[in-house]
Amino acid sequence: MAINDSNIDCYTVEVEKKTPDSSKITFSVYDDNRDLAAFIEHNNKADAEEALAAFSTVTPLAFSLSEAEENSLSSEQAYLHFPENPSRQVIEQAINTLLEHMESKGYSITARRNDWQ
Amino acid sequence: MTNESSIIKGADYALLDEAYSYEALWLREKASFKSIASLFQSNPGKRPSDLVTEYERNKAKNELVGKLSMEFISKIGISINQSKSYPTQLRSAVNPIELFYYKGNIELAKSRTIAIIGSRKVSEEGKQRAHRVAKVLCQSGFTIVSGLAEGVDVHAHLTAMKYSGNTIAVIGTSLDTFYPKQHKKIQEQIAAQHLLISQVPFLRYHNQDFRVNRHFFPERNATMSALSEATLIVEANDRSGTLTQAKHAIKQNRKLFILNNCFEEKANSWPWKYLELGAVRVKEPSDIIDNLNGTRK
Repeated sequence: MAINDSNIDCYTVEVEKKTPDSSKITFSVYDDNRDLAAFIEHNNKADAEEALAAFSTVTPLAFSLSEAEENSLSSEQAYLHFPENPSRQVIEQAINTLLEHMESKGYSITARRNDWQ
Repeated sequence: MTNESSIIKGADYALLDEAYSYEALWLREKASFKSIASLFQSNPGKRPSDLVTEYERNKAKNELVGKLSMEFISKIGISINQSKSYPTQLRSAVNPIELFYYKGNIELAKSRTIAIIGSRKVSEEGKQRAHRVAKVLCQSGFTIVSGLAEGVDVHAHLTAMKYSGNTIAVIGTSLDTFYPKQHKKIQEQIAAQHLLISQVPFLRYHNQDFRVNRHFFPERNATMSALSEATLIVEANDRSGTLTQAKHAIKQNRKLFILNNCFEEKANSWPWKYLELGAVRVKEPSDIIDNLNGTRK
């Protein structure tokens, strides 16, 4: 799914690191004020875990990621769980923390769409 | 190794074939509730098995059994349009579901039902209101329907169970999934003692891009509304997913009740809009009961 697909009630960010294997992480939160769900797609498990750990410093996320296949362009997807039912404001703050952390690791923000505003 | 026939025992093989066929329909490109409802509308009286090839059905069956196990499948209830278990009120939806999965007591779908819904970030007062109204309504014989989301939804379910009432959870994920995860035990309890419903096709849910699965949340709101005699909104803001259910309730000619506090929230404009569309403003649970019993207009 392209990031500019129908993103109603979603906040989606995508970060990428220009390396030979081009690490890419897409993080998306759906919140319609009633249902809340989060997803991640990545091709680098270690960096994805680091991104989620940064997010979790603001509000915890429960997750279990699989290793993306080595030497391939394939990526892995996973559901993420919010154990504490955070507000949108807190989620936005946590996304900012995730982005700042990944930028400090050499990633660039390649897409950002906040449909909550 | 246990074979299929020893696990299913008396289960209805024909019904299972319909489920495999329904899954096969969902494996088709661009399948949606709208496209599938439209397929059945243009083929009146047909069942899913009439509309797929044997190859498609077998492929879906093999994939489903491989993913979920025959033992899991044999414990799922399957309700299909025009069968005895299918709640006819579901046909009021714009795109009615042809088949759904369930666990628990399907007879509850034929009881008097009211959906109690609202925001996931509910205020303390909102929780108390949800508790009070769910208690009175379940003690008056209504089955409490909700979506097992955080906030108002889960409070409504828990209150019904606390006061020995009945409850139905209509979830926006496949029946083998727990989302939010922290409601796993409640979901299992509802499945064991009450009724748990999912219209979400297993294979599609597990195979497609996870982010696309979010569309199943608002889709289940239409079914929840159709299943219920009325919907009550306890607390919501102008952009709440709760309002998708309000919209469906009006379209389906269901009673829509809005608690008075929603009108008093200055930032909200939606209650006034829905009042104009036919919603009913209520202060007390007795207002709802009187209205539904026809003792008050």
